[in-house]
Amino acid sequence: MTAIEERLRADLRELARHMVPDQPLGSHGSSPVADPDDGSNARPFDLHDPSIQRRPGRRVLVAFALLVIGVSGIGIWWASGDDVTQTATSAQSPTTTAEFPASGGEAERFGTWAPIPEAPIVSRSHAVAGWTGSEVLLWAGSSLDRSFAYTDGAAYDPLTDTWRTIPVPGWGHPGLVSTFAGSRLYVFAKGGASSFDPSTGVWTDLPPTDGLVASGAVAAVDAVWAVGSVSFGQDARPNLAVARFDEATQHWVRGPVFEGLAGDAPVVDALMSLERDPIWTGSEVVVWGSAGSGLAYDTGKETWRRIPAPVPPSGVLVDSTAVMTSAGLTLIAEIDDSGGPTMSMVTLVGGTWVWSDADDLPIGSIDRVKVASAGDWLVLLRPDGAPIIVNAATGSWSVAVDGPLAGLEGASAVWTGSEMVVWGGVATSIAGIEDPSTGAVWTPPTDVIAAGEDQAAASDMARTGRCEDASHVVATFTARLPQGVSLGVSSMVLSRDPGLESWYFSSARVIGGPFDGSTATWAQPAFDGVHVDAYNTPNLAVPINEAAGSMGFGTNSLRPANYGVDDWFQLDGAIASRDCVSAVQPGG
Amino acid sequence: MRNILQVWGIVVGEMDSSGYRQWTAVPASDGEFGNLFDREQVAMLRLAAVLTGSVGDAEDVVQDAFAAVHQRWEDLDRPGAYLRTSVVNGCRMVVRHRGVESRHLNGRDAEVAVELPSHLVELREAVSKLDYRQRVVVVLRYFVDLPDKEIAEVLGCRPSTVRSLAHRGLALLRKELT
Repeated sequence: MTAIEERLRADLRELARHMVPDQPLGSHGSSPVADPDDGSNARPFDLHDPSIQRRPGRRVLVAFALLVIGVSGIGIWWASGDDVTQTATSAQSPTTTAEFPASGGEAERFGTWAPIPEAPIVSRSHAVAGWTGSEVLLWAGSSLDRSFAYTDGAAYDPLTDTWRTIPVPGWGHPGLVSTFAGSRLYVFAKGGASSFDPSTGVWTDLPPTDGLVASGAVAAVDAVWAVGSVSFGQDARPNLAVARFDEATQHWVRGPVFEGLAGDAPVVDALMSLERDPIWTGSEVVVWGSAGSGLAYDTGKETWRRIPAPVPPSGVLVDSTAVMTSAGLTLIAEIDDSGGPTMSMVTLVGGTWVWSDADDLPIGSIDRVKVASAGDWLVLLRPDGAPIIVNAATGSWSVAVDGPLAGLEGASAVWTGSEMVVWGGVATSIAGIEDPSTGAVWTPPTDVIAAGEDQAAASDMARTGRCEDASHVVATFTARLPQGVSLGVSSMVLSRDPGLESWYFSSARVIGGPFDGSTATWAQPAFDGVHVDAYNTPNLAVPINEAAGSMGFGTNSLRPANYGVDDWFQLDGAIASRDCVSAVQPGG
Repeated sequence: MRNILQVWGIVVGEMDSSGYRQWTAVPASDGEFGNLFDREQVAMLRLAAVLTGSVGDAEDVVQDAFAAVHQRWEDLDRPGAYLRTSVVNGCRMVVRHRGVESRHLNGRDAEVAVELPSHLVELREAVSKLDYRQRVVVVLRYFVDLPDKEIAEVLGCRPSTVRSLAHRGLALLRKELT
């Protein structure tokens, strides 16, 4: 125990005894002292004693103060000692630096990091990872140059902060391509595949992938798609193709081969060499090439299309990596112009590339950077520095200097819906990693409703929206649950009752289903329900249509029962907008 | 509909639709709740006093917390834990409201200061500078001796978040308590 901890143990107790000496609540008598150490035989308080009656006078004063604030619209809000008043901002100025863990205002804006215990497996690069809904699964992985592969894995439970090892399949192939879908981890190796059920610890061999050698895989809402190559003839160049696993027949069904290979070789090569992971947008499987253009396979139409490269305002796009954010397909792009290379961000919104103000991200070279998405946030793990947290919505970013993840390459990152678990990788060009096997977890800033936060947090959310002079706040946010199921609250209405000095959920419209990243809309929602007038109720039952079954809704929790999920899920999502309104319609 | 509140065997009042509580005193009996009250009331008072820095506010918070526990008594598996969480949440509201009060009331309604040795004054001021969640973690860890897992339950967060909050809180206290 450190000196400060010893002092706190001693002095906090002394302080408490000074502040609350020998009389219990309101008795003003001579009852013995109670404290956490010695228990208490103190007497109960006397409810006839006027000194312990509630103090309406003080409440009236507070109410009056709040009324003054509400009328004048002064942007002051409740806060603790180091009061942080947030504002709804547009693009923030970049280049801010935070310590590890982020502290003060940086923590408010860019979240916090915390270490996790050491894993029961050795650290490695390129471990395949997935979120089961309760655990982060890590499997296989390799040396940084992929010359050596591992054949073991482990699972980390963020709730209990513990690890466990997972069984090894009989065939023992590492399988460097995988995706987590439904309730199983799918692992691909050469022309075959296996699946792992984390609840039973059983590996199951699957049929061959219909001639396709998988180089990547994605979990769509209703199927697992493998992406890779098929060859026609011994010397023929591989062709890009996809294959869907048909649950009904337990066979892989290959889709059409992409035929426009000549001009798209860089895209295909990037996938084949495992440099780029395929991306599921909600309706398409996207394969992105380092040169700045991509190919997309529409799983509904069963057709391929090209996604044109974005054209930067100045200079030339020389390299990029793609990821899905709440806004859509987003690129971290390296641009070469007369002033030298810069890193920027661009998002495909409604078929148009929209450049952000996030230049210049402090990244030396994009090809060794791991970009992990958490909805509105991106975590960039780089070999030449500390992680960078990017607010994809505003373009602002922050570098967490001196973190244990500094100088990391090949790490695995998994977004659980409420936090990002980062593990593995190897130290490369700079010192800084004490022990990569310990990993770390990044928790978004409080702008995102955190797991377990109560109604007060939602009130904070409303308050930070500067809605002091409005009667209601409509906060819109999106969330993505595990198992490939997109689910979210399209709008949540927080209402304020000045008489009660409190905020409460007055209605919430809950929808779910495939989220179309290209248009940032919920396509054909599987759920669509409205709950109205949930006045101060900590746990609600949200009525939804019969086809969807029932759905539980805690203060900020959802249960997609029709997906067979056993546990309640926290509804964690990035707030997309806040609007202050004077009246709301049921369901927002 | 009348909403009757009982605290430690005593019906203490009713809450009308406006939320204003009109207290009356009616004898009743409730042994288990009384035992909890006997066991925890001063400990909770001290916890609230350290968190809010005010004995008066601590009394308000703890009274409300016991009332909340009693109201939900039949539904609670761990009334002690619920009580502690209620106190922590109640203190949070007090701290927030105080921020507004202090700005608009210019210090009026401030309670009489407790006479403290200088090192405790320094400690109280240092603790008050902590972000509220950091403050809760520090107090529950080093005053109540709660393990991180239980602190996480109180705050509704992950144990790793508790460690992060403790790390930042201790760093600030090191600077303040030189």
